[in-house]
Amino acid sequence: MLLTISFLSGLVGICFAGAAALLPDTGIDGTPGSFLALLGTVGVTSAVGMFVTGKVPSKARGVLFCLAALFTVLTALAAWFLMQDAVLATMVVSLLALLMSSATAERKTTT
Amino acid sequence: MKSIAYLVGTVLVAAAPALADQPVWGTFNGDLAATKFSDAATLTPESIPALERAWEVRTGDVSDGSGDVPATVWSATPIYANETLYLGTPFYRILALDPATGAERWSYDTKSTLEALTQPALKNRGVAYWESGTDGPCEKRVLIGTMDATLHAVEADTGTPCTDFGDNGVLNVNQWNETNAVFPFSLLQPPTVVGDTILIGWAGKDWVYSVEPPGNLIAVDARTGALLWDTGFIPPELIPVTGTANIWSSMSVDPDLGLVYVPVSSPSPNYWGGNRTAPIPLATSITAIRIETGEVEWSFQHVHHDVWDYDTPSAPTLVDLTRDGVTVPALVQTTKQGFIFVLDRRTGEPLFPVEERAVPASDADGEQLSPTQPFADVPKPTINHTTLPDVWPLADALSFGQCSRDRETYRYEGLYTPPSVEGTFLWPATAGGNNWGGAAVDPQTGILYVNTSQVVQVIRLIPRADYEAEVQAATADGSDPSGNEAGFYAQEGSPYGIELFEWRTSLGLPCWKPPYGTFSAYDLNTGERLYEVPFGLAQQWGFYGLRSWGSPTLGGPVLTSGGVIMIGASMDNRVRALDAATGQELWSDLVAAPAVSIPAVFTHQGAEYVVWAVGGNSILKPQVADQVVAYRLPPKE
Repeated sequence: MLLTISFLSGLVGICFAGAAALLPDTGIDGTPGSFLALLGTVGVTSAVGMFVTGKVPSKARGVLFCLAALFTVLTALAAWFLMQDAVLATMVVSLLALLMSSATAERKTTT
Repeated sequence: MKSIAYLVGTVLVAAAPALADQPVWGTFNGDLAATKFSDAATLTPESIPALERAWEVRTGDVSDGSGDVPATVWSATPIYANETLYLGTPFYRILALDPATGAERWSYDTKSTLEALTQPALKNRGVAYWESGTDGPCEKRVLIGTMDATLHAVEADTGTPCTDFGDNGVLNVNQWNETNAVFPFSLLQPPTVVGDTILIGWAGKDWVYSVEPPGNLIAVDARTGALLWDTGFIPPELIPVTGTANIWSSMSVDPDLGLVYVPVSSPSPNYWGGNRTAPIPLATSITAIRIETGEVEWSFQHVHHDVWDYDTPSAPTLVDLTRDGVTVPALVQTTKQGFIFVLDRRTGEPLFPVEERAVPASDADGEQLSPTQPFADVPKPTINHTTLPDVWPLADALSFGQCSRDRETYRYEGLYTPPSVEGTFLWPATAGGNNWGGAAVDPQTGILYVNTSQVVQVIRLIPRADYEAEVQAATADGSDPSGNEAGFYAQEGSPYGIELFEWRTSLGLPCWKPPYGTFSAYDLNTGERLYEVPFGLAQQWGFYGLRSWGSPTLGGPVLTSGGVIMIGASMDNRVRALDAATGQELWSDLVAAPAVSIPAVFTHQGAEYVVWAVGGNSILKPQVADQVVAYRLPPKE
């Protein structure tokens, strides 16, 4: 459930980042920064999507999780410097859901 | 008829510097005194957060330069007169809009060539307005100049040409371009209209040739376009070897004294003066000219033998100040160097001390710099040019020490360090400091408000023998990549071409420590600076800088009697309202490009409007637009 929330939030982030990069008069349209943010949201969502679909080999889970979390933080940071609050919010939600899903999974494992 | 008489009356009131109180916005700077002061009393710090977009129009006259049409630069102040909003566009069309809705009433196309004949871009700063005060066709006119040196006069109600003006409504101003005519007199800044006289300056390109058209001010009759007088600024004996010292910016007028105050630019070429070692007293000056005759009344040269392109960028602001209990008619000139010169506008005598100080010498071939330059410590300069800004550690680290190495490589010995072959820091940059947006002033309190850019450039003289090879090496096709304020400049006829660029890392980060732009207020009665705050947000690759960094700016502020500053100007595509008392931001809105213009603030049918032309300027960033956007307070319930 939490991974799904993270994934959906990432999808919404792609929409917001895409709009900011591609629609006119956003203040950042067409800039390298806007495309970087778009790329970041796509990367985060793809990574989380792999968890959701369960297509991650168990050996790679840790690495992919760290990468997803790192990309989410960096994308959120980019969104903050791009003044794209909506993208920032989606990345925060995505990150929180991702972290919580991990914590929940660990608790389930230990119990 | 009643409305015409009212309008004429109010225009006359607006022309009096001490009474800058106008329901019209009839000139580039709002009034002839260039106060940029509006009596919009409802625009207050309390009401301004509710300011909302009333309408928006796209003119269609825009180019990013990627096709056949050169890029556009649009810095027009909308003119509100005759209960209509008039705009000039960078395609040299006039638009007449309904101020309440933005609906087009008429348009007029000059059919000017869309070639950047004297500038790197198609530029326009708007239109001028004249009316006789009587009824009849063409008794109210809108005037627009073109890149190819024609001045068009059209009927203000219909947009039809006024056939009694020039040749069927078109005056060929280039007919007076008789000497060293290597380029046409580009009419990019709207002319100044005072009474029935139209005062015309022009723009050229003083970075390309040594010998160019000599600068002058042309006065013509508003009805016929007939030449009234033509005053030159280059001594006749120097005309064969130099040129320009022209007026490319706006002017201010004191009708009571019968004087027009003109900002005279630097002689050609911009960055080497070995061809013009004899004095040119009127160059890079504020000069007062008698409107009736064209005679020079007085002149104040603020840069001697200018080789920094620190030409006078804006109309001086006229305001009456109190000195020792006595009211003094004053003139305030903000400059690219960051000095604020306050003069008695009757005589040109400084009202605060101006001191001639020794400045560095040049080692360029044939150069003979002035040993001294005028410095004014009060009011405090808008730029601290006693020292170069520190290297920004972040940029230095990310460039592996490039900024520090540059600091050791290029020359800087204070303001007026001359251009050199090894490279010289230009601090402030050639765009200033303060540029054509000028300052706003409260005529009641004598408080001045001004936005300032804090940008460092590097200028390098390139010996003629090496110039072509360097340009070839720097560009793919060997074409001269000169931009407006950066690039290679040929300076043909001189021993040096030049290269001018901002001091940045290879990744594009500024090498100098922020801030990059500020907003300041000064009490002109005492010379005290009341505050200086960072203004706007810098932007690179789309990322915004921190608030404390500020932004370089182009364009000027407007002050309302309600105590609010309305200003675009920053590179972050925002228009803003500031609290005049503190400089703090009260409101902002995102627009299509940097609003590098002065807004019009006026009252129409009982509502107060703020209107910007949003066009962008490559000096700030490569983004252009064709947006006209109007704001007003919501109607009261």
